[in-house]
This record gives sequence, structure tokens and C-alpha cells, in this order.
Amino acid sequence: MYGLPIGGNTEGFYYNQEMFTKLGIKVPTSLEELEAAAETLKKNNITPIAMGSKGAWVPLMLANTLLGRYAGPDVVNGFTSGAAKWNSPEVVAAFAKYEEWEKNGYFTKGELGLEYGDMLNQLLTGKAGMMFDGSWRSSVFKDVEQAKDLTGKVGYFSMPAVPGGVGDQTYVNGNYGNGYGFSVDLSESELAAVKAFIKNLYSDEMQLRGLLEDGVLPSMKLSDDALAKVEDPIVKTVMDIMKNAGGAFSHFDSTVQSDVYKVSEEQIQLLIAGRVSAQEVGDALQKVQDDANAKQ
Amino acid sequence: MPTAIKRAFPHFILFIYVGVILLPFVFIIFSSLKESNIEIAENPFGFPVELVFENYVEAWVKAKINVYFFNSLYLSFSSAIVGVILAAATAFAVTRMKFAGASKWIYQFVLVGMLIPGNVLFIAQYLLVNKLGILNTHWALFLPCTAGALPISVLLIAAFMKAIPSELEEAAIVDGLGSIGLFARIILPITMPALVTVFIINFLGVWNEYLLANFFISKDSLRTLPTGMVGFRDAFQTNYALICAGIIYSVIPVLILYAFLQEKIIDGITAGGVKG
Amino acid sequence: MKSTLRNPTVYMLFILPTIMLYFLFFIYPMLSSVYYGFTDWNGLDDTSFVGFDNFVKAFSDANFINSIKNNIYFILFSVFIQVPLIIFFAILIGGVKRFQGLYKTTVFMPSLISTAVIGILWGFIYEPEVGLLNNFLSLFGVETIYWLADPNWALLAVLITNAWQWMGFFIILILAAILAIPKEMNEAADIDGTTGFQRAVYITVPLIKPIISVVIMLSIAGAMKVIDIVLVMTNGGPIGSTEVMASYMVTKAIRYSEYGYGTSLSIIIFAFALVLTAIYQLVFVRNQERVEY
Repeated sequence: MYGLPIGGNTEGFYYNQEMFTKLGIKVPTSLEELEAAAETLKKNNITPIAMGSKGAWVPLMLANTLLGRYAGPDVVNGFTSGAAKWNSPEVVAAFAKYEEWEKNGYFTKGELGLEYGDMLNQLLTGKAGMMFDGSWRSSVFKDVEQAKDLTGKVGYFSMPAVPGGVGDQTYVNGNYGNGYGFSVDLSESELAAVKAFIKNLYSDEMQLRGLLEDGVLPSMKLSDDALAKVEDPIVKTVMDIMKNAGGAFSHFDSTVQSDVYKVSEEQIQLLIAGRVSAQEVGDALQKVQDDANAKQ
Repeated sequence: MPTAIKRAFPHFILFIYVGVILLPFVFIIFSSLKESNIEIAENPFGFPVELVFENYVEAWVKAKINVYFFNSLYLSFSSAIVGVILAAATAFAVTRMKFAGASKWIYQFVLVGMLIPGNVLFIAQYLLVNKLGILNTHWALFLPCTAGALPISVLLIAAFMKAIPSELEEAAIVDGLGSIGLFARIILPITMPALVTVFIINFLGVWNEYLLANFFISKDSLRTLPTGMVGFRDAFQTNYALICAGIIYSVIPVLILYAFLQEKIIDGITAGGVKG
Repeated sequence: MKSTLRNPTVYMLFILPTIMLYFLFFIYPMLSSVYYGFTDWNGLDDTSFVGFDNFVKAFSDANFINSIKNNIYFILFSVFIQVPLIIFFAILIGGVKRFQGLYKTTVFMPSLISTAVIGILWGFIYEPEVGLLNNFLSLFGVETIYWLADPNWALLAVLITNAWQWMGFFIILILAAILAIPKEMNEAADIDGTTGFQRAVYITVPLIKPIISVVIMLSIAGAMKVIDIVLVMTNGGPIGSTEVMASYMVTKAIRYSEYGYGTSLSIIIFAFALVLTAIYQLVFVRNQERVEY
């Protein structure tokens, strides 16, 4: 079997540009500025960061990026080998920061009952000022039908560097989302069709179309000419960020065993509900990681 | 306490209880006719400013209610009819035909089913339905639901049939009827009240069924009303007026049935509850 | 004559379809449940017999224990809060002449509606900003409660909805028994100068003990079966605060394909229900004398 990705994505903060201007908030370039922005929003009775954590994968996006900052870009690859530990101080620091933001009331109240779609809704209706989501969402903000008043008024920035963070703080989260799988067991004509398909999909033209129309990051390098065609400001921002980033780290959901991922889903929700501490999360995850590693 | 107050007291309490039952429905009806979430938020208790019937049109179209409604209707009806026929035939064989030894065992065998709480068999039924290749077809609902209703149906009809005097049969046999004729022309008509009750119970059982319908059917065009409604709610999470219209659509058919058959339903279920 | 009713062909014809259908979709799943429960089938790897491993795993599974706890809450709520209220309302309705039909009709109605639709309906009522309940409570100055999102409130919210749906059904059952009590009993007591309350406690309730027993049994059975309302309103969340045994079992089997483990859980649920029924029968029903009048 061969698998080829359709396109890539990254995760970061979307923000309401008009709101920021009105409240005098500038795009955060450090953790301090990010938290100050959150405080300002909170003072004005606006939810700083929209969140819908009923589906645990949603808050885990933010948790993963915090991991990349506090514990370094290599950490997500180290869990299965034992090189990195979930309950190491750096990893726990990432969860502790998430915990801190929860306690400070930066996230939507009642988030555990809200779905992924509700999170977007909060940003669109002005109830929240920021939202941490994937680059795939960008196409919503240029569609008047969906974004209504906020069409074209949403910007993007990546998680800023954190003080005491490990490793290159310019790294961004980078994933390959959906893909196509091809069986090796094919007849002549089937093989020809597959080759033609690959050639078509992985041409400058198709990859560029994916980028321009859906905001899907290309899974192959595009020429600068092709990149210059991008008009969508969010996609431009994202591409700039990726160009200037030191590299990319993946989401741990693609590097750890499914047992570990399941526990991470439970733990993040418990953390959000204030039922466990960051250290307990780290310990619980390390325990299931140890078990999973032993089985292999 | 003055007698008047003493007499009014129970009514006072009961009216509050009736209010608690009906208020949610009133709220849903009002909300379904409001223009948008904003109106619902600002004026939750009040009568809608304008009666927005478009919500109902939109819900019908978007929620494909006609599809789900039709699926539920024909599944419930066919399962109930088949269930009644099978149960009546078995009850007749077991109570009226002269195979006492075998009948006793068969009756007990069928009644064992009453001991088993609803969901316990779910996983095994899922695996079975999958193996039989009928997953994602209406058979996957029809067969387990009809089978599951058999114990209580046989119990109720048999109880009724046991009370029929045997003279009736003797007279019919003298007139030359075979056992099938006897069953169809004499016994069935007399058992009609029990048959109707069992039909209603089975019909409602399938109409309201959610668990199997949700996990055994994923094709949208085959969905039943309860699962379709939940799907609708998940898709239109933030449009409350539409969701309320959908709820009203789901509830109206049962309420109409209830309005006409209320006595029968209550009596039947009471009898079933007591015996079961 | 006897031979007509001894016709074996007809007998088979009338019995076989029922037995076949019942066996295939009821008995066979029962047997296969028992079989799968002792394997580690997960839809992917090879299946092997694991003996009692699944059952041991179940009782050390914190999430499963949590779901047992929630079922117990359902049982306690049904028996100690719902049943007394049911008896109370049944007696009230039984005691009035006017509007009795209206009361009967209205209270019974919710039990006919699909539990899934009731879940959607109440999900809307519990809506934190727009829903009926919070708007009502805010009239009394109560702050927004995130009913279905708050682990501290979600279970109570589901319990209330469940009660709203089913109480009427049981009220009607008990009402039928109350209405069967001969009028003379209450009239005689009335002449003797008792209050309504005394009559209710000393005459009515003792006479309807059998039906109360049935109602308690049905309530316990119902509390063990709970699943639709949970799946539709909260899907077991938030953080498992509304997860019940049945919903946990279904999640394990369907979402995670743990068929072996899932069926072992279904066997445990069945055993649980059986044990509770047996305990109830032995402890409470044995002690009742038959009330003759």
C-alpha cells in the first residue's frame, strides 16, 4: 500500500481583527502579550479563547502546540521510544500552562458541552476574540455565507515563544491530514490510471488550486510564482509563518499508540474540568505509555 | 380547613404537575415559530412576535422529515403486524391446540425472553446482523425488533386466549372448520382487543426505537425518525427554531395516535405492566 | 373433533416461524454473547480465548466502575425520589372526580414519545443561554448553570428528564390499582372522621402494596436499562459523569471495536440486573402478607 497526502495543515490562533483594533490589542509576539491580550478581552466581557471541548481532539490541538513550545519540537516523537516522558517537568509545564489558562477563565464557559462547530460560532458572533484551530478553517473566513459580518476580518498568528521553552520556538505544528491510499496489487490499466491520478493531483496546478480555493497547504514544494498567486490574507500569513519557521513538529496523535491517545482524551477533559492537576495528567499518560511501549 | 380549600388543594398540586408536563411542549412550540435564536434568547417565555411558519417548511426540507417519517411508519407497521400474526398463531397453538407437553416447554422458552433487559443483546445482535450481511438495511431493524417483541406479545395474547371457553371451538369444528379456519374465523375475532393492544405496543416500540436504528443504519435515506432527528439536531446545532420545528414534527404523529386510541393504549399497557 | 386441534402440521406452522425468528435474533445472540465475552476479539487482530480476563479487567476499569456508580444513582433516584412522588400523585388523582381524565391523559403522554426526541427536547430546555430552565431560574437571580456541560450537574439533569418522561407511566399503573379499591373502604373511614392523609397512609397504601412492588421492580429494571437518554443528551459526558453501564458497553463495542470486552460487560449488566431482582424479591416481597379484603 502506498499513501500520499492530499495536503498539509498547521494549527494556530485565529483572531477578530476589528475587535483587536477597537480594544487596542496588537498581534501577540510573546506569551506575555498573548496573556495580556486575553486579560483585556476578559475585562471587556469577551471570552478570550473560544473553545468547544466536548470532542477532546479540539482542546488537544492547543495542548499539542504547548507541548512543542514547553518541551521542544522533538518531544512528540520521543514518547514511544521512552526518550521523552509525559511526566517530565517540561511536558508537565505545558499542561500546567493549559491548566492556568483554564483557571484564569480564558476559555468559553460550559465548553465541555460545546462541539467543534460551536467554537467557530463563538468567534463569528463576536462572543470570543481568539480561537485556536487548524489552517483548514481559513476558507470559512472568506465565505460571506458562513462568516457573515466577520468575512475577511479574521487574522492568524502562531503560538508565540514561551519563556523557558525548550528548543527552537519558531517551530510550528505541521500535519498531513487526509490522504489517498493506493494498493500495490493492481492490473496494468489500473496502474496507469493511478499514475495519471498522482501526476494530476501533484501538479503545481492542482496543489495551487487546493491552496487557493480551500486553504489546504500543498504537500509538495511550489514555485514562488505559484505562491505569489495566493490572495487570501490568512493563507498568505500561514505560508509566511511556515516559510520562516525553523521546522515543523507533528501532532502526537500520529506518533503515539491509540491506547495512549485515548487516555489523553480523557485527561485533557479532566484537566479542563479541574478534576486533575497537570502533574496527574503527566503521570497518568506516562503510565499508559509505559504499558503500551512494553507491549511492542 | 374549610372544605372548599380542602377540595381545591389536590387540583392545585395536580395543575402544577400538569403544567410541568406541558410547559416544555409549549416552550418548544413557541420557539419553533420564532424568527431566530436572538428572539428566543430575548423573549423566552413570550408568544412569538410573528408566527414564522417558514421554519416548518425549512425543517421539513432540510431535515428530510418525509423520508424518515415514511421509514419509521412502514417499519413500525410491518413489524407490528408480523409480530401480532406470529404471536397470535403461537399463542393459539400453545393454548388451544392439544399438544400440552410440547406447548408447556415452548411457552416457557418464549417467556425466558422477558427476563433479558433490552440492551444486553445489542452487541451480539450487531455482530450477527453484520455477519448476515444485512447491516445498513431495514432488515437489520425489522428482524431483531420483531423478534424482541415476541415474548411480551405471546404472553399477552395467550393470557387472553386462555380465557376463551372451548365450547366455541367445539361448535365450529362440528360445523366443519379445520384448525386454521378455526383460528382465523373464530378465535382471532374474539381476541381482537388483545391483538389491537399488542399491535399498538409493538408499533410504538419500533416507532420510538433509537439504539438499533442508530447503530445498525448509517445510510441517510434509510434512517428512522428518532435517529434522523438526532442527526438533524447535530447538524443544525445552533439553529434552535429549526430544531424545535423538527421536534414538533416527531411528536405530532404519536400525539394524534394517542388522541384517538388513548383508552386502548393506557388499558393495554397497564395490563401488560401488571402481568409483566 | 380432537384431531382438528391435534393437527401437527398446523401446530408446526403456527409455532415454527415464531421460534425460528426468536431463536435467531434473540437466543442465538444470547449464546454468542456468552461466547464472545470470554475472548479478546477487537475486530482487528486474531481472536483468542482469554478466560475470565475481560471480567477481571471490567472490575479494575475505573471508567466501568464509574458507570456502575451512575446506574446506582439512577436506581436510588427512581426508588427513593420517583416512587414516593408517583404514589403521591396517583393518590391525588385517584381522589378527585373532576378533571381526572385530563390528569390521566396528560401525565401518561410523555412516556409514549421517543426517548431520543425527549432527549433533544430537554437538551434545548437545558440550553445555558436560550433554554427555558435557565431563563426561569434567572427570574430568581440564579446564575447560569451549564446543565449538560458541567460534570456536577449533568447527571441530575438527565435524571430529571428521565423522571419527567416515565413518572406518568407508573402513576397510571398505580392509579389503576387505587381505582380498583372498593369505595366503601374509604367512605367508612371518612365517616369515622379520618383525614384524607390518614386514609391515604393507612388504607390506600397498604392495599396497593403489590402494585407498588411491581413499580419498584420495573423502576430498578428501567434504571439498569438506561441508554437512549444518555446517548442523545450527553453521550456519557462530560468526563463520564453521565456514563451508564449500557452506554459504556456500547461505546466500547462500537467506537473502539472491543467486541470481546464489550460483550463481557453486557453479561455483567445482565448478571447485575438478575442479582438486584433476586435480592429485591427475597428481601421485600417475601415479607409481604397478602392483603385480603
